[in-house]
Amino acid sequence: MPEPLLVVSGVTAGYGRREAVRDVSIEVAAGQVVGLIGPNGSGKTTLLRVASRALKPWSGGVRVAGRDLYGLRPREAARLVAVVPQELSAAFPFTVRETVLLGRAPYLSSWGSGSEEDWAHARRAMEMADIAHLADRPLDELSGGERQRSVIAQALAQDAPVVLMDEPTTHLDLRHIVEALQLVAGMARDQAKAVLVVFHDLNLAAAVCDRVHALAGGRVVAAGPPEQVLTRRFLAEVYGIEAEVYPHAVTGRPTVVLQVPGIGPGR
Amino acid sequence: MREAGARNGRRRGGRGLLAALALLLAGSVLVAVAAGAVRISPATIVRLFAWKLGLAGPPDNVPDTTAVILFQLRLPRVVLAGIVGAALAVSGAVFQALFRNALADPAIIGVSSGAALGAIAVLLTGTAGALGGLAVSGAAFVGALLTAFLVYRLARIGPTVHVTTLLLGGIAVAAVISACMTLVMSFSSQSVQSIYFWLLGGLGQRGWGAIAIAGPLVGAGLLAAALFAGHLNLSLLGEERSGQLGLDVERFKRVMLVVGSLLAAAAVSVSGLIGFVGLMTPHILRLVGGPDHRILLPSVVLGGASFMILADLASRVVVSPEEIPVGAVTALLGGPFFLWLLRREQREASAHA
Repeated sequence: MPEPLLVVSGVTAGYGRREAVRDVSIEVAAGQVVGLIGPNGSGKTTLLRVASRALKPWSGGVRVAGRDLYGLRPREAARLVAVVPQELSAAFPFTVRETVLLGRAPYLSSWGSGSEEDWAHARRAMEMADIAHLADRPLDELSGGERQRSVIAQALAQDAPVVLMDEPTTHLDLRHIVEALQLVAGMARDQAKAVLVVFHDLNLAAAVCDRVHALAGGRVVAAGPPEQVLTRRFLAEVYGIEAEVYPHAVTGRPTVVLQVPGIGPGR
Repeated sequence: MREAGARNGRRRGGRGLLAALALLLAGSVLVAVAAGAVRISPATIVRLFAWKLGLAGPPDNVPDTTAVILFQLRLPRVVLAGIVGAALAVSGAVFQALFRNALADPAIIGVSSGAALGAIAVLLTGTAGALGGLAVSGAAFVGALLTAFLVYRLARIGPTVHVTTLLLGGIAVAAVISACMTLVMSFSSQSVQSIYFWLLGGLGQRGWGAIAIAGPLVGAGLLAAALFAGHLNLSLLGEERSGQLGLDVERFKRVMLVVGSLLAAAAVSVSGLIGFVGLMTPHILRLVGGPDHRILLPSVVLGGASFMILADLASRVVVSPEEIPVGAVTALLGGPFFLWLLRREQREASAHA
């Protein structure tokens, strides 16, 4: 059996002397969406930074498409791993088109002019992220949601087999959340990418992920299909909350319904 | 075809901008060689050039002195002004991308002072020897490079460059360097008045020799900067993001600090301290043509050269027959611009906070 596209094995990492994640192993195969969940400060973003070559782990390693990520040159790594950050800001305002085309940087010369193929990738990415109509607008004039979709398009244009996303739905309204999740699922299903996504919203994680890994205190405390991980007991132990978990009426996927202590039934 | 036109919208706008700037540069050169104590008519200029290029015989009714004024005094001065302006403006554009800050400029961050200290040390100690002007440029380069690395280290806290640390770091470094220069000068037996005038920035009496030194250095620097236009664009997204998109960030920063310092040093070693060109030119042209360095860098070359040629023209005709240092002209224009920009940056920073 071939090695999964993304293999994070036994990673321990941190900042300065402060350890943020310990001995974390995650595998994401082609065509899979894997979610990273956990409370604030549990190490999700740190792990994503390790997997994106931005933070060298103290021990353990990251393999992408069978190659050691930290042994690659930055350009080679960027052709294999695309990252969707939470926020993107340019020191001086690029247009949406220019921003998305920068996603082709790992394929361009240092002068930076794109070929017909690069333009085609950028165009397709803008269409997929529903921002083609904004192409000539400066990034700093867009709404938070439009900017976030531009970032997603930039990463799509990168055309890498592994995609890492840090809460890609934070600034989106409901319609665009659904569309973004459709994009995420489509990347795995139609383009056979390996997608690792950090989610705060457990219901969104449950809706699209094949598996979720839950982090707490920098360690993996649960891993498996959403319906096995997302249970009342899990929510009580990891998040310290009382909540109900129901199967979704249509999809059957687990749905977490919060309950605010002290507030009883309405009228 | 329609699509190709749409996607190239800004690039085509960029071509229009470049054409306009090329016209501006040509006009600036023409006016600058024509104007002065002795006015030379455009027709005479054309005839003299045709003669010099071997396209026509020596023009009639033109005194020999006119040819000397044109070719030995004004033309080298205008060409040198163009080279210095282009170098300072591109140096500013490079530092602004590197620091991700519109307030960076070789003079403001102290790099020009570092170059001046290096140059003065060689000029006053007379260690230039047989190498002459090249040794001055080399020492200026070393001084500029050391200052650039120092200020970069000072200004950067974590992944971001803070405006306050950048500006105050530049001021502090420039103050220390200025003290060093005074020290060097007070220990020197040579006349310091020429040094003072040089420090104020001037382009007169440098001649073709200065062009032979600065020209190739600036040409190399401009070429190097242009080769990295795409990487400069990428770097505007910040270190982490540009790294995720494949930029070798550490190597890029080192190369760009060297390129920015080389350009500033080449300019300073032949013209002294001339500020604000590197601040104003990229900023204004970015507002017009956008931040894409593939358009910004060539337009900054043309715009910086034009700006400096016109500033130098003003420095010698406004109080003719006296001259004011060209550094004073650029500072008169640049100082208020800098304050306006600083206010704007701070307003935006507080709006985003």
